[in-house]
Amino acid sequence: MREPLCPSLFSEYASGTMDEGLALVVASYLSFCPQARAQVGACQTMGGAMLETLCEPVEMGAQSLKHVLAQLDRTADPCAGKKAIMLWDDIALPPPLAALIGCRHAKLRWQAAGAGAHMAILPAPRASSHIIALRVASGAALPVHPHSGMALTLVLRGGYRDDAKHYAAVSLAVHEPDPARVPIADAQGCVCVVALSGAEIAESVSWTERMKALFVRR
Amino acid sequence: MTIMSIFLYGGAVLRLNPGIMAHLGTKSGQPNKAADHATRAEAPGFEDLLVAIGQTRNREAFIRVFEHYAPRVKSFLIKAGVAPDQADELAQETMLTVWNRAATYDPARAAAGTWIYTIARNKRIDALRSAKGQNIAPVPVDEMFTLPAIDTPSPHEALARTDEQATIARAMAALPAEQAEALYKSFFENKSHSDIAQETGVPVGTVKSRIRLAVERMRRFISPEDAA
Repeated sequence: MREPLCPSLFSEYASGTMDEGLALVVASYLSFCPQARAQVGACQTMGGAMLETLCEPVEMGAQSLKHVLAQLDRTADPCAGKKAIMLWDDIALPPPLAALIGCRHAKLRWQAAGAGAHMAILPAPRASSHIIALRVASGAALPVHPHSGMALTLVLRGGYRDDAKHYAAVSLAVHEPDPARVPIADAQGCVCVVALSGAEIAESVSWTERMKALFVRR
Repeated sequence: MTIMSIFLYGGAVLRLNPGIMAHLGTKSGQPNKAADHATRAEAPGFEDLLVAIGQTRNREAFIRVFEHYAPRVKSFLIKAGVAPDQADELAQETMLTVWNRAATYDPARAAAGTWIYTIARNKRIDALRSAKGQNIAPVPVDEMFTLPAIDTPSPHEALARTDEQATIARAMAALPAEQAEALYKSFFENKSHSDIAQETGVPVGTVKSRIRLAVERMRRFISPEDAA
């Protein structure tokens, strides 16, 4: 089951103006959901139409074409090596998130986050956003933390219930800040990645302190 | 309303662009036909040129693509707040990427302008990253924002693709001003939905619903069978 999502989420992503942490989770979701890819494709087509119709040509520098032609035969830009990075068990991280780990040479470090829950903090692209992987046992509460922006949760296995709503694999949940949330993992548990915007954590603070600041158990 | 006039101006560019007509080899002695197909004339040819670049490294084709798109990409980048000198450099980089990636271009998936827009957009994101002095190595922009090429377009979709941008351009010209403005700020002024809300003095939810309405209108034109 997939939640219908607001197309404005995809337009913000497609226009490149979305917070990068959120965008990584949207990008990961896209690898699972053809309807969402169609939405983003539609937005990109709008961008293309705008490029054609709204952009009154601005003359390029006199040497620009010559300069580009001179570079045409240089080697093509190197492609990032694709390697599968396992999130947990046999669940691979979606490629955009794997790239995040790969380019930072970081490893997933799982740590306890309350009864039945573990989390690993992924290296976030910005100090103002955070990406967290969660694995939560059957019936346990997903850790929730304060944030002022948006929380995007991509469920990779199992699922969770948040008030009346149920989110199964593979779905993307959009949560606005709400301190009263108590999401509970399904019987088969829940493995997911969460991107948070508007959670400001000072860089100098230690991992442990950041964890404490990020996650408030209820 | 300035935005509407920009849109109308866009329409005028489409109708009056004699350089493009010459570029595409359209006979100047056929004004009526040219007018009928004014919006179409923008697109035909460039998809084929990109394919030619990808398959045969055709420099003539590349020069034609450069001459049409580089000045538009530069214009787009300037609108997005990039300084003119840097916009010229980024437009050059965009065109180099067009050359390097042309072999991956699939006309069944995207019109030439759409594909080049995504490359230019990625260059802009890259430029913003360095401007913000980000000291960590982020995920390459292309990994984050380039759609995976895993969908096989239906023959119907593939056929419709070439006309799609022109159809959408017409539809955009017919959008209510506030929807057009929200779209424009988001795509061209590099504003997040919350920035647009602050700037226009309406709630974020209103910005989102304006954009949602606009996107839905556009989607109706892109894939009519999905509209219901």
